[in-house]
Amino acid sequence: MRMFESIKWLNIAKTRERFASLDAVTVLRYAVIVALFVLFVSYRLNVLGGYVIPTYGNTMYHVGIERLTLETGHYPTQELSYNGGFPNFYVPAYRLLIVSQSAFSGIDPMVMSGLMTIALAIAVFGVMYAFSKQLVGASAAACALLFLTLSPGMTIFTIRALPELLGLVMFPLTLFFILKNRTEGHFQFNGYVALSVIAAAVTALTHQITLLVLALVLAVYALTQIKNRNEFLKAIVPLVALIAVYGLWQVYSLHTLSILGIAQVKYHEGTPVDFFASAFSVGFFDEAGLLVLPFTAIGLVWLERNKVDKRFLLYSWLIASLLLTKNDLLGIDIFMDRFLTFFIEALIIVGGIGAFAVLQFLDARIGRAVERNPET
Amino acid sequence: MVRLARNLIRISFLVVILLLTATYGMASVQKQADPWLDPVVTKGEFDSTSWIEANTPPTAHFEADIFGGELIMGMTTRIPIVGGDWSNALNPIANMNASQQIYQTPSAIEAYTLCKQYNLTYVFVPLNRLVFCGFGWISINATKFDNSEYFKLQYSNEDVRIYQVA
Repeated sequence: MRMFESIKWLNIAKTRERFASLDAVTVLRYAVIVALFVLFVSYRLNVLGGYVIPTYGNTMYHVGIERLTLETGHYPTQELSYNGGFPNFYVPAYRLLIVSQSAFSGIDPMVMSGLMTIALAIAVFGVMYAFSKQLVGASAAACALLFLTLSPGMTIFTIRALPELLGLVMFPLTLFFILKNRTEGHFQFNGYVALSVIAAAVTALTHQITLLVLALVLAVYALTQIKNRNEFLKAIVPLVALIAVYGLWQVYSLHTLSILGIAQVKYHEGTPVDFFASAFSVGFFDEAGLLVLPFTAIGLVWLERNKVDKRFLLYSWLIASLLLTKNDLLGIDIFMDRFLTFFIEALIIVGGIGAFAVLQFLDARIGRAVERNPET
Repeated sequence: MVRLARNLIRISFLVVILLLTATYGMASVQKQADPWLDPVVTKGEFDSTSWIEANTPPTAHFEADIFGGELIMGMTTRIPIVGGDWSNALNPIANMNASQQIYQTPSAIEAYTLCKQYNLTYVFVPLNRLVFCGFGWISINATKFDNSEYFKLQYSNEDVRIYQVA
């Protein structure tokens, strides 16, 4: 009986009533979201357009490990890469997601990787909407979706079968649970804390770069909330889970906690991010898209002027991902171009808020003008 | 009436924004993102993986470039000299150098010696594209692989030849 109660929204009469009571702005917002969703998904269908999924970004390497897992029934401890015979460094969550879907459906892991790329890209669309809606509201979230659809950087990372794609879902999802946890007063280990811990743990096992972004964002947010014990713990608890889960995995897989010996650190894998692209750098303006930037500035002003609750979580995201993107300035020099994607993800959300602020302003102006001259 | 006028303005504005997004905006995104959809490997190379799966031992090691190696890994779980995750590899730069040298050298004996040194049992030779072993795109000097003293042709189609190291 309870189950039926929980799906009351399926009641046709009530649904009709709900539709009839929608105001014009809500209807327009839904229309915009549907149109953007169609544009967003239609481009990503290209992933399945060829005889093989897009291969940039070691996508077929992941398929190899997935295939081996399916064939042997266990996640390999040894690598197939670079002549094989050494311990597997990669975290398993993304691969096990593909393996589970392949095993369940009988679809080849290469094809399943393509299908899951589209599904995860849709999840990115959904989670960015949910985060923005939770922070500011549905209209700002719809505006963020416009910038997401038009973002070259986010498009490039949502058309390839990569663990980072799952990271682009799990990272904002973890932040969403922290945002959604609006309890005041003393810290309570409630459902949202549990969900943020689970999401952080999955992120730790999804992608090491995403893990670093999430860890720094949570640490920066905790620092900004040092005087608010409740909010501080909402960031620290998933951060501890993130670090503990990853540490355990690395000790299990590599028998060490150190990452200083890995090739990415040793050979400084990664491309610097400059304002414009060159033979040696990725162009920030090319990847972020020019349109989002002025709206990001407006969004930041609007957030501060309206003193939006929990805006520091978004600021932490911006600061941490920017620091990681420019880690070459700190002499670290690793994966700057990969960290940029997370900075762009934050810019899109702030840009959406900026566009919402502009639309709100214009709408109010037009409203006043129409009211003053109704016959025109 | 006022409400209708206001909504008409809202609708017109959003229609213009969506049309601009669908046309100019998406064209710009496509220009940037389309190259990343490139499969790099050719149809014939992809087709050859069925032969590899059916005719080579599961532990076979392949001379291939990064894209060919990852294709072989992905479709057959065979082991390439380069490609995949290099984070924990013993000496990935040496593997890249060896792979590139095997493709580039005109000397069959040098290529054969390197194959033996790296325990490679097969050589994957793409015919219709450049290869990337880690240091840039290069063309293959393929004629040396026809020296049957060192390499035995096992499979070929319009896009690829696969040799067994003698």
